[in-house]
Formats: sequence, structure tokens, C-alpha cells
Amino acid sequence: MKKPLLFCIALVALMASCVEEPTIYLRLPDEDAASIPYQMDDTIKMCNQDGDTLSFIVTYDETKPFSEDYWGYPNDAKMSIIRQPWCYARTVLLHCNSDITDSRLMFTVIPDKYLYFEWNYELAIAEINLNSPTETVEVNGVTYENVHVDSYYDPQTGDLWHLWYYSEEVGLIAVKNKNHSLTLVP
Amino acid sequence: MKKIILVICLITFFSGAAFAQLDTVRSNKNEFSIGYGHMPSSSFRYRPGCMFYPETDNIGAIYVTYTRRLTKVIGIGLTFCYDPIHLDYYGTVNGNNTLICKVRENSFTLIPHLKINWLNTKYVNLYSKVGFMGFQHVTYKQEEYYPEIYEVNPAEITHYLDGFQITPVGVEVGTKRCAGFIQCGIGMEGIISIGFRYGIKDKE
Repeated sequence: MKKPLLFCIALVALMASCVEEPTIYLRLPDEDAASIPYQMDDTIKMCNQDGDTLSFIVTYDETKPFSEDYWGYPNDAKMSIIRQPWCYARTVLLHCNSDITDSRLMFTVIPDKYLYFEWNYELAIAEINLNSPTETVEVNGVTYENVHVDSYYDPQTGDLWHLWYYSEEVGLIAVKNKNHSLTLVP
Repeated sequence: MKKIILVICLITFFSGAAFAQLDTVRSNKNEFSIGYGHMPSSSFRYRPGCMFYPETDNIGAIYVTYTRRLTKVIGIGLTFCYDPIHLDYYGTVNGNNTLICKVRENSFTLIPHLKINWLNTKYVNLYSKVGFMGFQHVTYKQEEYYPEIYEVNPAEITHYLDGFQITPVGVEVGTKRCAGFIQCGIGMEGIISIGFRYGIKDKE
């Protein structure tokens, strides 16, 4: 069984090598790229669930070809055999390395203002269309307008998985899951 | 299904006739042929996970062949193959699926080949053919329609020895000098191809 399979793979590889094709990427408009309002070396202060103030510094800000398969690995974009890059995406990484925590927040925006958000890989992962309707929210006594609210709940128990508030003007306002939270310090 | 049965019947008929005439073996010293191949190797593309997959227009391959017979059975020669390929890429512009890029490729390949006539009769020949390490030259022309929205990076054209042809079976039917042929296989000459063969300096 293995020999015919290997033969078929070799045949396909041989045939596939005969055509040259261009590489096409959808460009990221400036307006879409600006939906992440952070610049390199910016410092953002956030308050965690214990009341500690954490300083996040923007340590990475790059626009590169993007595939959904490796959006979580901006520093080590690997080739994917599942999906090839098809557009440009801007990825911004905020890093906080203190005695209290070693935490990171990552934002990736692709054309048509589709935003991926990740908090320490596993604490929260979200995808949101920034063209969707916004709300006005109040966080720690401050009122924010044009805020995208996204929440995920366990369909079985109804427990909160994570909730986040994001504004194109301010950036991340708050994110929380069952045990952890970060809230912007104005 | 009917076509397959018809083809099998034809092959059986010609093979039977051929075996009956084994005594009248003939062989041309020099053979020239011209043919058209449907679905050459350029028709097959394998790009897993690619978001922009083109609409293609593979016209097919046109080729000319020269074969020098070393013996009644074995011949060596060269095949020159021309294979034009049209690729049209579509993408979304203002919500509409629109042509964003056109690519026109012309592939010219020169392949050395080995031809083995495993049945030579007065009117019918059966043969196999293999060719590898063909030198391929590709011309590439690209037109972009929305460069402000899509970045199109031209393919890196390489000219290397990757032309090939594997023909397990081919049938020539005709006289000593002129014959039509049909063959099936894979490679630059297509999955199935038809053509005309002309032989000179016959050697009985």
C-alpha cells in the first residue's frame, strides 16, 4: 500500500513543479492598520485582578504576510501547509515583564478590519469584526464610546470564558476571564 | 463505459491483426512526428492552502518529435514541446468577484526520449516512450488590474531540467511511411495525444 502511495505523491510533486504561479497578497489599508492604536515603545498601564498596576510596553509592531494558521506566532512565522498567506496583517505585541507577572497581549488586524486578540496564548483568544456595531461602556468610572464588546460563555454551564472591551481609539479597555482580568488605567 | 469497451475492442482487433503480421516487420530509420496533447503536465497544479486559485485555460501542448531508430525496437530522439498556459486570478474588489491578475505563460521544452516499439507490423505499431531531464524555458507575462488593493509578486521563473514524458502505450496505424498515432501517458505531451508520424529511409 505504501509503494503506490509514494509513487502517487512523487508523481503529483513532479507534475506540480511544472507551473510557475505568482504570489498574491491582499494589501492592508492604512485605515485598517490604524485600528490598533499602539506604536512601538508605547507604554500602557493596566490593572490586574489583584489591583496591581502592570506596565505593558509595545515590543513588536510589524506588517507581514498572514495566514490564519500562524497568526499566533508573529516572531516566528512558519510556513503552513494548511493555508498559505493571503493578505498582509499588522501585528502588535504588548509585553509586561515584572516581578508580578510575565504577560503578553497580542493584536493582529487583517484587511476589512478583522481583529485577532490573544492574551498569554491561553487566557483569552478572540476574533472580532471591527465593522460590527459598537457600544458605550463605563469601566472604572470612565465612559468609553465606540467600544467593541465581545464575550464568550461556556455553552454547557453558562460560565464566563472571557469578556473584552476594545476601542479603535483607545485600544484594549478591559479583558477578563473566570480568574484573571486586566483593566486599562486611564 | 461504451467508449472504454470500444477502445478495448479496437486495441484487441489491431493487436490481433498485428500479431498475424509479425513476419512483415518494418522499421523506419528516421521518424518525424507532430502531435497535439490534451492535459499536459502544466494542467496539474497542487498548491495546498492557497487562497487565490486561478481559472485556467490550458490549450494543450503541441509537439514535434524526431526519433532515430537504433534497432527495430529501440529508438532515441528529441521532442520539442510548446505549451501555452493562461491563468486568470480573481479576488474581491468592492464586494465583487473581479479579475485582479492575468498571467500568460509559454513553456518551451526540449526532451530527449527513448522509444521502444514492442510490436512492429505492417500496419500497426505499438510502442512505449519515456523522456526525462527535458530543458524547459518559460516566458512569463503578468498583468495586474488592482495593484493598490492586491500585491502580485511575479513567479520566479527557473529554467531547469524538469521536462518529462512517460508514455506506457502508443498505437501507430498506417503505412510504412505515414501513420497516425494516438498515445496515452503523463508529461509534457499530455495525458492523451494524437498526431501524425512520417518515416524516411526505411529499413526492411
